[in-house]
Amino acid sequence: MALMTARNQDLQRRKLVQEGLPPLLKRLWRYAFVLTGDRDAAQDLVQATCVRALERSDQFLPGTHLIRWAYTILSSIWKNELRARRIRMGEGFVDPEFELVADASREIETNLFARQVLKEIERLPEAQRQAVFLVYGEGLSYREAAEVLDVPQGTIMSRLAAARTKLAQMKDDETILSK
Amino acid sequence: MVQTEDRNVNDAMLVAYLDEELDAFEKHMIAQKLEQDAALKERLSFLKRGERLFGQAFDLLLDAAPDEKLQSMFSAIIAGDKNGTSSDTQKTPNIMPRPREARQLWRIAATVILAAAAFAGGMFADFLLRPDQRIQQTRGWREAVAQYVSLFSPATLEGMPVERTAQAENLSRISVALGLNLTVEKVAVPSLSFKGTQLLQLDGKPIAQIAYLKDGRVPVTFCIIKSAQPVQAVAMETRHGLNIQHWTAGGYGFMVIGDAPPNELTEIAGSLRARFG
Repeated sequence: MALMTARNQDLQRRKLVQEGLPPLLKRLWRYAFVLTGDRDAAQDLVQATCVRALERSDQFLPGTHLIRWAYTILSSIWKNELRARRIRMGEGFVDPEFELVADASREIETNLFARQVLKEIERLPEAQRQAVFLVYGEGLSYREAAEVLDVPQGTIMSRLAAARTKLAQMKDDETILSK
Repeated sequence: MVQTEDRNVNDAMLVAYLDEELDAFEKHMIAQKLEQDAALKERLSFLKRGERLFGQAFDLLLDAAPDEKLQSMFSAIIAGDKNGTSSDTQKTPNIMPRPREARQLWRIAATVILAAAAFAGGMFADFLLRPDQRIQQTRGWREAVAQYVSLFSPATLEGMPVERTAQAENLSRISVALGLNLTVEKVAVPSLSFKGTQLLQLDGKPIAQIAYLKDGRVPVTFCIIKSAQPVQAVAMETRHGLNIQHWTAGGYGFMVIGDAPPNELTEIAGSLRARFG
């Protein structure tokens, strides 16, 4: 009897995950894109996340946020299985001092500023980019972001502080250049 | 969380203060310290300059998500499960990845390695551009290079290695980055003295820059970028006070730029074009 109940519970959770994921796929893709910076890699990461989420659906607690649970899985796959292959992003291509920035100033676009912000975010190290995305992009609290990334809350605080410092410097640099 | 000594009011706490993540006591304490400490207040306004309209920026990515592909990918996973392995999925969901998943992860790793290589240079926001804007950006490389080269003086080129082996090594490194065979002989121009090379990048695309000095005092550079543009004959333009001869051939964009008279630059470009398509 107890076995039957456990089985029913698993089936119920599986149903919640299976029916809950499709409306969240775009948001999962966005997170994956923030990590990988590549459309196809992002899609593959989402796919692996979905496979894993369905396999482990018995661990999903009904009544909690499915998206945060899925983010935790996505982050873990990225951190432990993909990035663990010593993939480091944003390093070693050329000396950043020699980086040239495209002159986009003549483009009049309503989303120009938003694109500019994205460009700035992309210049942040991965750990800071993730924290910025989860807290400022997704509106997670520090505690929730810490849970997704499986790090102490203090780490989220210091990553956000480092990100803000870098972004503030970018703004100051920009101001100096435009004078 | 917050210590009482001033020195412990660090950036992380100030940011938590801005983000309203502190409890009432901590918040009050920081507010008090801010009133007394001008340097702390200055630091707070510096960190405030790190704010952006993050929501709007990330919304762009949401709009760019390939929804249909994602939905059909998900349907395929469900269909795959139903066609064989679903029952044990539900019984033993917590074991090591099954072979199918392991293979999939390996494939993903390969994709991600490629992505990581491209990431450094700005692919992230770049894909959001419409195709016509991408072309605009390819054209933008001359503007970017001109801006950079306009800051050159003869002294800029003095720091470059003069040993032939070092020069050859740099050229072979750049050759790899561009997929183009560059040698000291191939880039030699009779009227110019070869000074060295640099690997630059623009939005993730490598740019080879080969620097020369004309008459011992005028920097002239020859630059190459990969380009999907159709073949284009040599054309002349001026940017940032520098004359430019540029052309496209064989999947590359080329430009010769410097503060040299147009006829001399035409001659130099002609000589290089004979070697580079």
